[in-house]
Amino acid sequence: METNNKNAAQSRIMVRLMVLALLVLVIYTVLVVSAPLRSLHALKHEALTDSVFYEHNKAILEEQSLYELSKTKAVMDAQLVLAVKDTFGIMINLKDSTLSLMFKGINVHSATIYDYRKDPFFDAIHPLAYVKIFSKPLRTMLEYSTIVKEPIIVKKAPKDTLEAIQNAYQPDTLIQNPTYMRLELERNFHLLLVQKNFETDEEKLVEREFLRDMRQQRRHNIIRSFTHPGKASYTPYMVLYLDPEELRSTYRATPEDVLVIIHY
Amino acid sequence: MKTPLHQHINNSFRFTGRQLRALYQLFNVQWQALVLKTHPTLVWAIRIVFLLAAMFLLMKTVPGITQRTLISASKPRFWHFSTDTLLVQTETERLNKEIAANGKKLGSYIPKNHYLIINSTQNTFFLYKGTELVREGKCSTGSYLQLEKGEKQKWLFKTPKGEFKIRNKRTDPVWKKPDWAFVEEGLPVPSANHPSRFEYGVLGDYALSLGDGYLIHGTLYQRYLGLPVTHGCVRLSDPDLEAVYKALPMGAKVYIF
Repeated sequence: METNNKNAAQSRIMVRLMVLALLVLVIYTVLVVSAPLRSLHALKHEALTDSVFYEHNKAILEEQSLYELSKTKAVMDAQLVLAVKDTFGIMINLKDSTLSLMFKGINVHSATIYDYRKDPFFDAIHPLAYVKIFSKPLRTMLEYSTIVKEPIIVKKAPKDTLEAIQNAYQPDTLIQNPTYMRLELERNFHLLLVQKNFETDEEKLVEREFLRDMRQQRRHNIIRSFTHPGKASYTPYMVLYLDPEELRSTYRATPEDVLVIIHY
Repeated sequence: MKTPLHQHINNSFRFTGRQLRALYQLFNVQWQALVLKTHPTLVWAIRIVFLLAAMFLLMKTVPGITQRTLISASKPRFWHFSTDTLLVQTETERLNKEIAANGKKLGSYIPKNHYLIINSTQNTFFLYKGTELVREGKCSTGSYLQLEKGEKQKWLFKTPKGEFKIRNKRTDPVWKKPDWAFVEEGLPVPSANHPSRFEYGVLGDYALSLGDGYLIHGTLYQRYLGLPVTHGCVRLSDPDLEAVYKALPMGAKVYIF
């Protein structure tokens, strides 16, 4: 009798624990799922409440061909904004898989994007929001890279000619670190530029760092959705795989707050 | 009646009531009965571990899948072709006009004549005329070496980046060695116009000035082309230098990145 009561009590505890776990899971799912939806809604709301913009562009909701034309116009508008700036900017065109370095309206360099991964969030952006967001370059808020902007080698002046001959140094092109860079753009869009393949041990370490970075970002988002349930905290990302040499050229040419044009 | 494919697949993964009961007995009753007699706390520990593992698995998969599904579901779709053909036609015309105007504006930024683009990371150059690539090849740019003499004197040998213009063109240029050239060699720095400052034939047959002492010139060290070894100037091979010298007029643009 006593054993039966004990078993029943244990079962009740187990059921309660399971219900609690289920509740946590539901809350967690709601928080995780709602974050991107809230972000998408916020972008849509921003585009629809701008009455001048809405009136001028509402026709694109009528037909896909108009939306496609508006996208083309948006990327050109963004290029025109960038053209008047006295700085290097990046243009990412996923339609023709190129990453271009722009300076005063001139495409000074183009690199091939070998592969890319795009968050489904980008495809879910409302057409009017797309046109509003991508018709101007996006500012980089934070930049991180595994290579340095200026590979400066400090050398003390030799005391005499004999010491000068002995002072040999290795040019930078011969020391090539694996390349991975992350640009955190405005509107919380993250752009990850990664070299196309990781072969050596050193490169594999960087690849691991890149993957860890992605996971950390996801964890950070989840924690944020628990601590700030009212805020949309989703971070849509885009991963582009490029040739390491091209990545180095792009990174070293651009300023830390580089302007980025995205077209997809 | 034909069963849809997805239902068929789903059905094939479903357990029957009897299978479920058997599974329950296997995982719940039998092992509990075995362990409960000897280690009652261990049963609870295992239960909690199972619960946490299940939670972890579910938290890792369910929200992600739901999130992706819902994001994809909110993707904008154009289900129909608009019935308002006049509006579509007018808007298409307007957009095409604006695109053409934008294209014209963007085109105006590209120099019509020759211009030079230098990639200082890959140490390559590209000579363009309008949108046509005329010539490309290796060059040498700044080494990023910082030479320090004591606390106060520092020289950074880097090629500046940005837009430049050809300010001066010379044939048979003479190099007037700056102070750092002597410091680098461990020699005493001579007076401003001392004869030891002037070197003949080291800059090649031509030199094009970009301002602030930066030149595009030739080199005696052709084997270093393609490497960052200069003090900030841009070195080209003899044939490339000649082609660039002849193509670029005074005021021609040079873009260095």
